[in-house]
Amino acid sequence: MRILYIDDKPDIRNLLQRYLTSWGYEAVGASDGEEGWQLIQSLHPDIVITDWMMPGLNGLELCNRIRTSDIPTYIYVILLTARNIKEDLIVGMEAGADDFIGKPFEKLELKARLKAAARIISLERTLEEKNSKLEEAYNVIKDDLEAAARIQHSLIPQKIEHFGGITFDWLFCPSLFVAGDIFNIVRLDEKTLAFYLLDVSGHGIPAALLSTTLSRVLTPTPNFAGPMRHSLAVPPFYRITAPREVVSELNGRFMNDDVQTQYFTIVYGIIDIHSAAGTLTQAGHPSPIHQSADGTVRLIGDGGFPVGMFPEADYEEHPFSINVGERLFLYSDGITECRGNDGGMFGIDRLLKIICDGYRMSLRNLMISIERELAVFQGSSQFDDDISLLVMERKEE
Amino acid sequence: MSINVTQETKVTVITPAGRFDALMAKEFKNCIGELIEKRQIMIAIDMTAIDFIDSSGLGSLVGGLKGIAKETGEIRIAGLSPEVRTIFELTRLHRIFDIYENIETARASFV
Repeated sequence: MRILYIDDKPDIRNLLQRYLTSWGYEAVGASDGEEGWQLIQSLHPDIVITDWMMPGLNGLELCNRIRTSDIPTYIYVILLTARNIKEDLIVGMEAGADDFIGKPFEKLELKARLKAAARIISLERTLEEKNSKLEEAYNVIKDDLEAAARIQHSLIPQKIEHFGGITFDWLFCPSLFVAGDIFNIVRLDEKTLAFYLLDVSGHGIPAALLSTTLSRVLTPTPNFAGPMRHSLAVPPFYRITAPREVVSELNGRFMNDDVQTQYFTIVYGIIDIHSAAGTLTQAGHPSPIHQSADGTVRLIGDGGFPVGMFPEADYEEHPFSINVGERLFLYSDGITECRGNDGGMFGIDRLLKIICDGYRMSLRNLMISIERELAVFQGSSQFDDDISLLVMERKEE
Repeated sequence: MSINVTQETKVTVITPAGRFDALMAKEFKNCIGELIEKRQIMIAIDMTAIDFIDSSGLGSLVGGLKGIAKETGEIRIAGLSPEVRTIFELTRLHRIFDIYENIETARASFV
């Protein structure tokens, strides 16, 4: 423990030097405030004992200077004062002094007070060390999360996609770097597109691990084997799996057990890009919104079991079409359950209204408008839950 | 947020209040674990004071249902607010749980 003492009287300095070294402290002395200040900056002492009344920079001013400086470690300051008046103590404490010793000081009192100071300083140092370790750990985690977020972003479409007259766009705002929401559009053959949007229960890293795995499972391999397209022994050597079969297969593969209670909700669909007809399965996920060419909207489906919850769950299919001028929206409950300042939820009606009002807008402008309305409603653009929305439309060719 | 548990002659009534989110889901899971240990496995959950339930909350209810069923116990649910009922219907959980209008009828159903 390093102690700096500052006093303009040589006899006091001598006394302090003798006492401090005899008690095992590393002691350094200064004869005025300025010299003391120089030593404080170069030595970073643990404790400073300073006389209050000194010519030049006095003890109080020095104390002030220490507290407003950017010295990284805490310095414990003891003021030596000849007057022991309450008002003085208040002024001293306000300047940032930790303790006071009346002059002339008693050896035993000084010893006891230094012991207390040393105790506080060592606690302070432990705290500083823990804080710096925490900060280090936080930075490592943050870097990892950012890297994970980049990987996850690489799994969703990278640019606005067009497939035979159908255009897709989307909104994706993870609540914490990485998301439990994920979506994609996958071409299964020359005329069939598959699309999905899913939401893993919970948030953050555990949810993101599963959503990333699911995205991989729902990405066709080069020979297209996988839940979305089963191989056949005879031409055309594959069969496009019906949405309810895909979801049932996922339900079997990702069934939770007693320890693992994670599950997910999904809307999975396929569409024939020539006929514009499609089917979709809704598994515990909010109902997709279909918008007709005149702007009117309706919800498709009224529910379904989540995936990975019940082995015996069976799923339904809903037909739909995306004719010229029509739109289909898939979205996660992060939008409808977004909480406003007053505690109320954004709700499906607000979302439907924006979609109705915006039916002449471009998809991009509509996405921007939805994101803005959500941020305004919530009073912040940092969302508590993952926000995702996937929209597709067919334009006049 | 809180979960209140009252043991009656045969039925244990669990009354969660507030938002049924990840935080409450954890508490609920612990609560069910303790009840299984004490063999108090005839459970009625009064949801009257819950106006919001998220995915973690639903997961913990289903986890509780499965855990209690394995011990040959039962969980019955009462007092769903319109918001919570909508979520139960969306996820089809209303077909899985025995749901009662209020806690009195749920409690009486065990006799």
